[in-house]
This record gives sequence, C-alpha cells and structure tokens, in this order.
Amino acid sequence: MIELEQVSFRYPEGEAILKEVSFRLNPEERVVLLGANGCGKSSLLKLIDGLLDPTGGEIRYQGEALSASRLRQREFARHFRRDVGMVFQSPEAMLFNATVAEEIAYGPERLGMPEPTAVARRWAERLQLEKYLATPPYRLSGGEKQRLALACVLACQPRLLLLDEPTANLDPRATGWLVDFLLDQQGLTTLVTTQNLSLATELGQRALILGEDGRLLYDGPLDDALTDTDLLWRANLAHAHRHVHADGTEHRHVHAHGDWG
Amino acid sequence: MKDRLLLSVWLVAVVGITFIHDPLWLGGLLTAALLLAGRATPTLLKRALIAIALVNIAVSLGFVLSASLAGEPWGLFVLRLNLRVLLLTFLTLWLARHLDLVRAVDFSRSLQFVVVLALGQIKTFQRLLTDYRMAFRSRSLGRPDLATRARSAGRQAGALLEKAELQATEVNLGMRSRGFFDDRT
Repeated sequence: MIELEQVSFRYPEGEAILKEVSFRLNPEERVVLLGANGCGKSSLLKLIDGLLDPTGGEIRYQGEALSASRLRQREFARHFRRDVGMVFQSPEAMLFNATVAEEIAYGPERLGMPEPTAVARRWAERLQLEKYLATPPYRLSGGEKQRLALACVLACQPRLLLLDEPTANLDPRATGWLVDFLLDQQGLTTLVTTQNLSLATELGQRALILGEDGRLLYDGPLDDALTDTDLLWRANLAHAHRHVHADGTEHRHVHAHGDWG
Repeated sequence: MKDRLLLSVWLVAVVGITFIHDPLWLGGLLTAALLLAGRATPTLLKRALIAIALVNIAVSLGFVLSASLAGEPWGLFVLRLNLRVLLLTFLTLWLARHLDLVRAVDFSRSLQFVVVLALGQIKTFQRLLTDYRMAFRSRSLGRPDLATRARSAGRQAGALLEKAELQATEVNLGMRSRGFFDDRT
C-alpha cells in the first residue's frame, strides 16, 4: 500500500531527523510506530501523508512515487486524500469549519460522496458528538476535538489511517473507548505513533521503532520488541531508576513495560 | 440573519462616525450608545477606556505639545479624537458581545474558514496567556518589580509569537491533509 525506500528528511537549516528509513505498510495491518520524543515520528507520518517531501529516498503509494508535483494533480490528490487520512497530535490544526456538522461533512463533500450531511450525522453519532452538531469546533474540549478530528477523517472512508499520539489529549476512559473503536474498524490499515507501550500492545501487531538518531531500529512483531529490553533501552523507551530496599540495600530497575506515555 | 444585520449596522456606524466632526454629535451618540447598552455599560466602558488609554493619552499629549509650540488651538481636536475613538471602541466591544461572527459571515465559506481559524487561535492563545500569567505569579513571592514584569512580558510575547508561527504551520499541514488546497494550487 505504502512503501518507503531509504527515506531521509531534514527541515531546512536543521539537522537530519530521519535517516534512510525503509518499510512497507500492507493492507489491513495494525502497526505502531514507537520512539522517544523528537525522534521524528510525527515527521514520518507527515511524509507518508504527502505533507512533507523527503530530502532523500522515495515514498511510493500503490506503486507510484509520492511527490509534491504528483499531489498537485487533482485526480491523484483526490484519490490519495480519500485513501489516506491523518489525525494530528493537535486536532485544532485540522478544524476550520463553522460547526461540527460542517466539519465532518467537509471531506465527503469535497470527495463528491453522496449525502455528506447524512454521513456527517452518522459519524457524529458513532463518535458521540451528535449533541454538538451545531457547535463551532473551537468550543469543544480537547477529547471532543480529538474525536471530531477522527470523525472528519473516518467519514472519508480511508484505507490507511495515520494517528499521531492519539491519546495525548484523552483521559483513561476516552483512551479505552478509542482503542475499542479502532479495533472494531474493519479493513483499515492503521499506523499509530506513541510512546505508550501499553497502548501499543492494544493497538498494534507489528512495531516500527525509531531510534533517537532518526534510523529505524526495529521492524517486526510487537511482542518480540517488547521483550527486548536492550532494544527498548537503545530507543529510549525503557527507563531505569534506583530502588531502595527496607534493609538499606539498593539496586537499579529497568522498566520496559509501563504506562508512562 | 440577525448577525449579518448587526455586522452591517456596525460597519455603517463605523464609516458614518468617521464623517462626524462635531463633538456635540459625537458626545450625543456616545451617550446614546451608553444608554442603549443597558446593564453592560459599566463593564464595556471600563474595557474600552483601558483599551484606548495608552494610545489616546500619547497621541493627545503629542498633539497638545506640537499645537502649543505652533501657537495653534488644540482643545477641539483632542476632544473630537477622544470622543470618536471611545465611541468606536465601545461600539466594537458591544458588537463583540452580541455578534456571532461565524454566522455573520456565512455568505462566504472562505471568510468563514478564516474567522473560525482566527477564533480558534484566539481561544488557544487566551488559555496560554492565562497559563503564563499564573505561572509567573506562582513563581513570584510578592509583586515583582517593573523590570521583572517587563522582562516576563517580553518573554511571553516572544513565546506566543513562536507558538503562533508553529501553529500556523501545523494548521496549514492539517488543512492540506484534508485536501483543502487541492483545487487551489
């Protein structure tokens, strides 16, 4: 579906963020992208969504090279934007319509899908936003905005869903709801970035782990990655701390699994 | 419809007021506006005075000084200037209280996008500014001196500017991701 070959990226006048990253996303796969703060997870999602251009290597979507010039071709852009949806870490970035109903209907309307208003109502109900249909998006809480951003993207029926730290603004109950909701989606490929290993175990089968130097450290089964303490330590996904016993002795603990994201 | 009408009335009022030069008329209109605003008058008047105080005092003093040096009269000009600015500010604040700007510009989808984005940003920055102020207060034992307050305000302004730039970039990407610019390029 999407293939990255030796993809590198740097912001203008900045250091290289991603270095020679290669992997392929297959249909209906659930993949988690793990990595420490600032290792390039969000940039990688934006590259896959065609929002940034790689400074090296190539990204292919269904065998075709993805580039700014290709995305300027309306038919290709329409096809790509329908198939690939991204929910940003700050959902505010995606919300610009006057009401929740218009916000959800915006994508289907532009894609020429039938009855965008009915589609919007249906997705608002599924994401428990129906009472806000006439409300401006900026008046919603953080969690509601997150749900709205998700509704906006899902209403376009994408085949690949990119989620950037989807639980960053959510409380535990909403996080649980989101996990159930995503697991219920059929035929959807998901790539989720997170530092939260317990969330990763719930959302992914396959893990991609980015190192702090911007290189891909691991691509394989998530379960195997989570038992490899050395790998997690190198990726800055495990932490160690001093543990003092009652008798005064002490040793260091390394925690690889945990809910600290 | 009501919002669009309010916005139109306000626009006409703003243009009309700039053509009125008689302080008596301006004073009469200001009195009428104060009376019509009802219970909101004290709050709106206080806000309007705070909003214009610094600039109006500076401009008025500057004019008084230059006119005095040239031996020209300045009273009428200063009165007219202050009445007009106060009236316009008061009307704008009153409008902001009663107008749903998003609905008022629903004749243009593009304009509505701009207004929604601006309002969203304003809300985010209001929250951020409150956080900055509280954080500053929580780190200060007593009332900080003027230099410290000025330094803090400068840092806050810098941080807000940086945040605004980052957010604008992110909004641009968010809109592109949803195909907003696809038929505009």
